[in-house]
Amino acid sequence: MRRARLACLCACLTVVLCPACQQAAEEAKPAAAAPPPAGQPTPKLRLTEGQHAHHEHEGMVMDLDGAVMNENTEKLPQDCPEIAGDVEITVKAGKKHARQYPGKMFSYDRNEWEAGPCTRVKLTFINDDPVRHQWMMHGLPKYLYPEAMFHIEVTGPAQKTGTFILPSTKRTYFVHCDIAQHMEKGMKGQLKVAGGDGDLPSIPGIVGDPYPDRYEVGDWGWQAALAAGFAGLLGAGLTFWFGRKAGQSSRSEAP
Amino acid sequence: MKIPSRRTLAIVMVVVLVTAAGVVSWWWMRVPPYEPAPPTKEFAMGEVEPPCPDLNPAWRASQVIDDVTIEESLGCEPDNPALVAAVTKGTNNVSHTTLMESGLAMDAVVLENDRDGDGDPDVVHIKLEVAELNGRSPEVTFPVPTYSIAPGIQPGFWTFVPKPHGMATKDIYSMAASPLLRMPSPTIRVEAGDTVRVTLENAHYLPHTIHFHGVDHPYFLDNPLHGEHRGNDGVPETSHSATLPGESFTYELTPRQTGTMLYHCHEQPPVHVMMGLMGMFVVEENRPDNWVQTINVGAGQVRHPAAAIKERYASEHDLLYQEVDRDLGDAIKAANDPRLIGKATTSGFDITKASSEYFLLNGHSFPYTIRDSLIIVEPNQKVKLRMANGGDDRSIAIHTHGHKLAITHYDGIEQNPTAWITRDVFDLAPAQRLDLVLDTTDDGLHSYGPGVWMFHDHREKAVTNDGVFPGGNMSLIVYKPYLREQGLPTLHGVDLKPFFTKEFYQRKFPVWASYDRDRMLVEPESVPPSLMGVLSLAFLAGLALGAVGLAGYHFGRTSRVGR
Repeated sequence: MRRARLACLCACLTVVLCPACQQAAEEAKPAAAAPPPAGQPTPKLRLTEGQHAHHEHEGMVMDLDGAVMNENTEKLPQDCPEIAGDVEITVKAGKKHARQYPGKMFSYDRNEWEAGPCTRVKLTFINDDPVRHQWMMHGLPKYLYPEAMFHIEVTGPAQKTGTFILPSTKRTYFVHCDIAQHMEKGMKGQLKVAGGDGDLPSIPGIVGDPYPDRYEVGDWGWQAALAAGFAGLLGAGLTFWFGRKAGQSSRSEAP
Repeated sequence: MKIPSRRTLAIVMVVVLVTAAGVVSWWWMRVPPYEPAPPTKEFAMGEVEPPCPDLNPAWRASQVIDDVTIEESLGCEPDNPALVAAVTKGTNNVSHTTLMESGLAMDAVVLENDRDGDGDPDVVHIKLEVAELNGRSPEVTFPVPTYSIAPGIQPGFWTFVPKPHGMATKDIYSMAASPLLRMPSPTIRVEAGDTVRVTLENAHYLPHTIHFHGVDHPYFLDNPLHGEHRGNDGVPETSHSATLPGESFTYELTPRQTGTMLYHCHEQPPVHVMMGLMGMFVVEENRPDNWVQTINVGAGQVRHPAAAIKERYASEHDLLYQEVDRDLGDAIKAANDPRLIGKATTSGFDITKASSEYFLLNGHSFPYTIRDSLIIVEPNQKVKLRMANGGDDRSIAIHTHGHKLAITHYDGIEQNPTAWITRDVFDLAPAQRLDLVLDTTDDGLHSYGPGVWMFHDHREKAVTNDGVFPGGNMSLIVYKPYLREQGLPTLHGVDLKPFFTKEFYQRKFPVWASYDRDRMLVEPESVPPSLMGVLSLAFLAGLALGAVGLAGYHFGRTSRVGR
């Protein structure tokens, strides 16, 4: 538990503080848009319906149903001589899956998945709600997956499928929905390769919260009060008994 | 040696006491000799944020993106021109690059169907999510995603957001909220006669609705085309029950009248409106080729004004004033369980005992207001201001330095120009709106000439951040020659650096520190405790103790003798 907590903290810190990454992000910023051509009439806007049913851009495939980012069906991780096998994982997301976890509001149907080293995972993400949900996985090798992520977003009641190839390392990958308060309210999971290297904190049904909520404490009841009374008497009796024993032995040792 | 008699002892005692009392009173009543007062305290200002982070200098220039003309916006933090293009042309009509740079989902603002054949779309479908800012996480102790209204000040908020794509944070390396997730809820802007469908996609964990305040909308929706037969007023008690977490609801309206209106959540309004679920709703005049900027994220300058506005005004600004009860905002940070937050923000909250600590103009308090809420003008211009009060106090009283403005519309209704009132304090009751003309003609009435002129609430508490001045909803009217490169005005007053530190608003250093060169007004050091004070106090306490002892001794003796 403590180890997992530390691991998560380290991951968070790496993500927040990594200056090199920030620099990379700065450099990746798009160039400035062109100024308006001088002396030319203002361009006229026209309706262009249905022009963009399907977009592809920098590893992102997007349409009205959602987006798949950094799909990889062929490129092998450096540590994998070949694809060890194919797995299909189906993840359902929505409010109804949080009913099994009191105090949560959004969740996946399962919050832990397993896959073997170097397997090719075909992930189908089904959104059961008419609001956005995401399955965003972190920690993949950066040379194959920009920003170390594989990400599926579905904008409403629909589904999307994407494929990625896992490295060989025994590892637990962090999966979540990055819509404000979705992870916090239950939409978090972990994908374990070769059994994983521990658990992450705050996985509904698997690991508790580092900063859990405090709930109202109910009445004790007479049984608990009685038990507490007995425990108190026992403690007092033990102290008295040991004290007497100690006093006797010190007296008997005295010359 | 002869033991002195009791009488002698008593006399000696009295003499000693009187002398001691004399010395002590002389000490306290004398005019003391000169001793220098304690020296001035040293203090550390703390880390100073750059007044303008200058993240996107290229965004300031006027430009054309996907055939959408975007007016210049010379302030420090102008609106993202790609976002302006996407919400003007429609997320269904813009190029992929523009859509990606806007941060919006493909179905965020769908514009289609030029029904009247006048060259602009007449059917508008907007999708809004509800996002939480500065909320609770069960894994970390800081708020997520973070949104600061001023240095180090992060109250909890709920806000309407045009449907985004991707993450809630700026990038994967940051905990700061993405630019779309901010206060206030964005201004919605349509053309009169447009059919507007607004879908609330409730991605938040509590129920919400949308009520269109002052905007022409049918109370009930009978729409055989969409198979709809339901309430449309957004009031859970009368119209339809609130939209639960993970559910969606579509409102439909075809506003016939123009004007500056509002929209807000009507579920538990004493909490939900105060948490930030309120934005402006502007209906512009119907004109040919009139593509309006459907969404104005963060309110402020409209970078693609509607045709009728461009005919009459040099620029247009949406100004939404709000106030923040810190305790209410903190309620969402106290627990993670939606049931506990739900309780804390309903029966656990009493608005009749609430008070406001922060005062916002377009989602920021001073000094952040000067990053994105400057009104930049040139002489002899007319500027359109739409002003709304989203707060809960009896009224706000916005005062403009250097200018008197004419009120052209009350609550969206145009006044006869002969009845226009020109004044320099504008009082707005909660939810009221005024349309104003800022006329920069230097005639001693409308304008006193070029400069950097403050405009602010004249309720003095509203120009503070939790009581620390300067803060709150003040901003500036800046004439162009006074504007520097990074969109900040040339100021001739005090150094603004202290105001860009957290420590200043935590009351950690003196207000005059930045320009009190001789350090003659900065707080003094503490002084060591006075030795004479301690000694005389201890002596008096000793006397009292002795007297009590003596009395006890005598009492014991007399009672024994009596027996």
